[in-house]
Amino acid sequence: MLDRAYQWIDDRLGIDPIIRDVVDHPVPEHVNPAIHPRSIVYCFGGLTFFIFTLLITTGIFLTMYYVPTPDHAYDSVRYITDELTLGSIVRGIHHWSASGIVIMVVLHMLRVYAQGAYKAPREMNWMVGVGLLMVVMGFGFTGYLLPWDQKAYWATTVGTKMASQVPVVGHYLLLILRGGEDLGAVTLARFYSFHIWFLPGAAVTLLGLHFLMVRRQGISGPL
Amino acid sequence: MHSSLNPQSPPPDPTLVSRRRFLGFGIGAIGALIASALGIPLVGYAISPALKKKKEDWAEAGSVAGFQPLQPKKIEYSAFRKDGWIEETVKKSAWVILRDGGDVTVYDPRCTHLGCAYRWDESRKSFLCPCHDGVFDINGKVVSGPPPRPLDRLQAKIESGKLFIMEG
Amino acid sequence: MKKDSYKMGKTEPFFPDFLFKEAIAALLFFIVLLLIVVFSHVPLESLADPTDATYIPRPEWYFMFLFQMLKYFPGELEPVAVFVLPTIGIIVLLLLPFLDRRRERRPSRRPVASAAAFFGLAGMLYLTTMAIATTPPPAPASTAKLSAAATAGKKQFQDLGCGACHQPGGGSAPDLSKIVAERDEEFIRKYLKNPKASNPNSIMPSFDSLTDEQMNHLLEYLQTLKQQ
Repeated sequence: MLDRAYQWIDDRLGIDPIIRDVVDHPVPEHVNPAIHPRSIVYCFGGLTFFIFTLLITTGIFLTMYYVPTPDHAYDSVRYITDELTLGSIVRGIHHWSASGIVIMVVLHMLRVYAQGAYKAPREMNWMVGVGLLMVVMGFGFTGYLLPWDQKAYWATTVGTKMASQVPVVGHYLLLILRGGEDLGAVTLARFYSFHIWFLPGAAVTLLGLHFLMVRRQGISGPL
Repeated sequence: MHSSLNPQSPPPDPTLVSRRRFLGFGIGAIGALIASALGIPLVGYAISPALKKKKEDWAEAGSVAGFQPLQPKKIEYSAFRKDGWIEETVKKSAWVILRDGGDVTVYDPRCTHLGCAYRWDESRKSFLCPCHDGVFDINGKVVSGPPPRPLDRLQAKIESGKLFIMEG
Repeated sequence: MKKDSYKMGKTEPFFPDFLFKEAIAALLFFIVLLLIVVFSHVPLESLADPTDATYIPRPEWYFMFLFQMLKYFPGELEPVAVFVLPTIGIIVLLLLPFLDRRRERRPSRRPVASAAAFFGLAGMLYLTTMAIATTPPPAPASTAKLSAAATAGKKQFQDLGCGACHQPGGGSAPDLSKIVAERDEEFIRKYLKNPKASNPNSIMPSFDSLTDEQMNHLLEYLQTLKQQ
């Protein structure tokens, strides 16, 4: 049944070669944990992607109730957490996954670093990976403000204040980050916009490049 | 799928085929497990406002001390309203009629035709709606005009001289 | 296309063999995540209060090392901690493949790279630990609902700038949560009116100008600082 449906689609779109490339490409022995137990270190990249899908899914659902204005942000988060059925679970998954993805990104980078897998010919993919690290940090920084509680407000006050230490353009940087002299409605709105549009857009683009390069170059060889 | 398209390739090893099927099934099962563990909270969370029972509350609408029996009077009162995370008191109005024997009738102040505010005409002893000339008698029944049904009644009670109107 | 060649050994197809193992790893991670979610409450503190200068900000744990670095670069050196070092760090990370161009990949034969990673990580770990150890938890008063009098007192507290010196955990003046636990209200009232009378060495200004009502509100608020 499924085979016939696949056949029917393939007759029309000719997707089989693309699917075959993704599905059937051979994975070398040295990354197979069934043969070499220590090759478990190769799972962190995949787990990072898995957590990314969790964050995107729960994040989309959180926008259903969350309102990014100083009047409503805190109350809408409290409503999600305390009043909606299973709302604390949805927000909890988003909250803890954010820490989880940082841990997995670091472990993934450590593996690549320790194995020297960033060396030729994979320089570009390493640089894309560093870009993804920056994006993850950006997600963490902007997301921290959104609940608009004391922790959010004061941590972001300090965090944006740090930008003003940059020589020459520091103060302008602070104004751009906050959208004004003080942390307020404009700050919250732009952090939200970055958190749900700019950064996910950047993340998906860079992830696409990251995966494309892995498929083109194959995984780095055994040590 | 792939090998069947190519008549030259030897028939695949049956144990390999069943192994591939088993692993494919395993991936599907794990995927389904995670998807449902994630999906149940997500769906519950998304639909829960629809399943919440509307909380019914008596709003205190002031004293009825000065009210004459069978003399409709428009009152204003404030009711507590909860709209998601927004909690506020809203100004509301209603028509109140004391009946003989201490009963009370309260009408929603909007005409049942198109929601205009109507008024009490003492000389005609009826409620008149200025928008399309709807007329109701003191019991809320339609006397003439386009309104499709009698005036909407709000549940109300009087306790120790104070009027309470049911919200929701 | 430049590709490095190596022995593939006993290969397996990505789907389903390899993906199955990745799926098991994902499932294990997900179970742990769900347990954490169910058994810990997702945090939400009280509403942001821009007037509450007594609040001690804490960033997310993975920014703690940056936060801690500020303490070692006071005053004019601050840009070093918040701008120079992080920028250098990011540039080095980004250009790593061009800085380290030797073909050798085994960590044991890359002493410089291995040592750099080790000290870098150890430094970040040390800074994070120090940050967590030295940042006191938020005052319990900020999460509890205050009475009307205590709220008025809190406003007094902020307007008078008490929190500038009396920081939780102790700044240039004692931690008030300890004072209210140890001293009775009359002592504190007298002290507020004339600090030098109780302690000749005190540098605290006198708050004799407060009305009785203001003083009562302030004392009411101070009581809420008591640790549960």
